[in-house]
Amino acid sequence: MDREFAYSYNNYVKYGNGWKDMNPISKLTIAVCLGISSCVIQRWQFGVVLCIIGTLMAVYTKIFRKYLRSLLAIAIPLLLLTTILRQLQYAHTPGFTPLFNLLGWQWYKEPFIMSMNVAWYIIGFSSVLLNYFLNTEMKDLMLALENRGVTHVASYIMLSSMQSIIDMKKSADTILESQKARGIETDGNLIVRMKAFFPTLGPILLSAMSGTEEKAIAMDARAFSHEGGHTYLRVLRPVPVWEYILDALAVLVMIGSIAYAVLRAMQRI
Amino acid sequence: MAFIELKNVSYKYPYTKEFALQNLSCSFEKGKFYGIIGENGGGKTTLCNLIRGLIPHFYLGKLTGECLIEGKDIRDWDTAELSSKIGYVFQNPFTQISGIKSTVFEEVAIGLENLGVPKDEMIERVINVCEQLDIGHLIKNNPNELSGGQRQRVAFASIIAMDTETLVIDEPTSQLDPEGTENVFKIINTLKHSNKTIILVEHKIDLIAEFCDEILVMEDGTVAFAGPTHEVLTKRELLQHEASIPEVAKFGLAMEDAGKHLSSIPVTMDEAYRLVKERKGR
Repeated sequence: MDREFAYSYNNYVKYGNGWKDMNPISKLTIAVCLGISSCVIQRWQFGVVLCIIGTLMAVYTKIFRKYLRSLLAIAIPLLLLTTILRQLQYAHTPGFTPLFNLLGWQWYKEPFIMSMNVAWYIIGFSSVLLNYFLNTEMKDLMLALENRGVTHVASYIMLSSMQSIIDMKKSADTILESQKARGIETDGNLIVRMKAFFPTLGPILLSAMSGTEEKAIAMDARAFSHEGGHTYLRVLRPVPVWEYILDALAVLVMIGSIAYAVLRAMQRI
Repeated sequence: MAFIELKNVSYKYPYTKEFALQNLSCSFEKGKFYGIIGENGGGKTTLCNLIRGLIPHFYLGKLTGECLIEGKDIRDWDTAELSSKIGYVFQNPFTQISGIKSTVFEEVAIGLENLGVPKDEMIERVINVCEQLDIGHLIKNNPNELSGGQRQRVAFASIIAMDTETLVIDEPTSQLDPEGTENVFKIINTLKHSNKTIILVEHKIDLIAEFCDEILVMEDGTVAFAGPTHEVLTKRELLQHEASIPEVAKFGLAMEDAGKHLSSIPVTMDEAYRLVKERKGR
């Protein structure tokens, strides 16, 4: 047995990475505040800055490939869609500055900036949240929330629901594999795959439901409903002062963004 | 006084017509190792559910008669309190994993966390149990990715770690290979020597014969036979009931039928070897 691993539980939860080791709630505060700021300011410059920060963080925390894949899946369709829609929306509106002509389709500067503002505030928002979720173990977040008074029942529901999704996917794969073995077509175009997938939903849901009862018994056998104080094998490190300062700065950025947005709106009026 | 006592207990699951337990009376004393055998549908698991308090607290249904744990009726026990007194391991290894822990070490510790055991003690207890159950090499693994047999051992470990006075174990070896099965029985036997009460439902009659102090044979929701292992497993009447008896006991009875009596009917291999050797020397 790896005793070193066993005794490592005597220490605080540690990943050896400044951002990852931060308290999940502190990280969430920063991510949410910056995300809200991006939504409130709605300027492409702010979105781009957030995106650059998010990308640098992703490189630092070694999640760059995962992060980039998810971000591009959001960013590319969003940029294309908003740009084209805005150009179409304002195609016949007079007074806009011509930008360039694309095969007879005249593009204008102002709708282009509008579309960039919309797309980049969403990309910026997504960037910080992606960074958060890819760098935070859900069990750490729930542990941090339990430390702040969330019940272990709520925490269990959340975590086991997430595991159930993984289990259900495994069940679906198993059923699809067995269908394949029986000669039913499961690969091919979307319609073929959907035709193979939908009949599996019934068995998947039924097996998930039948397992629930035994799972409840198993948890009861592990004193889940014991009312005395719980202890924890994994313990998060106490929140250092600098994390509070970072959180406060993030809140200030959010407040500043809201003030900026309000002032801008008042100027328009 | 018996630690667990059942008096004329009948129980019917909700929405069913048939009684799963019928007029059942039996008792379990502290520190003994009980084996429960019998045909499928005979009420073995229902009896475990009752002793563990799942009936009537989890499964409603109709319960009559008295089920006393330490002299207190099961209806008056709080299930949380009972979980720290009576551990329960059941058949299906796939639903016994909490699903919220990412290492086997954490999974084994989950009951201790719920009981509020201090961390230092928790780590020591988990290390001991993992070594005892030979799952030390798995402690870093994700419990959700283990095989059925490994999950069963992890589930077993998490209950043993809780160090309850009594263990109700419902077919713990159904997913294990012969070696794993023997190991589990050895562990259970070790627990018996630490003065724990063990109630084990199992079909592997040869192992039951080797390790259990007393046996209950269940049939149609009631106890057909009960008593010390040797006494019960050498009853000829058992052959007429669907409960199996050890091969060596069948051999002893066959010898008796052939007029070649052994000095007693053996129930374990060692006993059979000794008795045959003794007869040869006569």
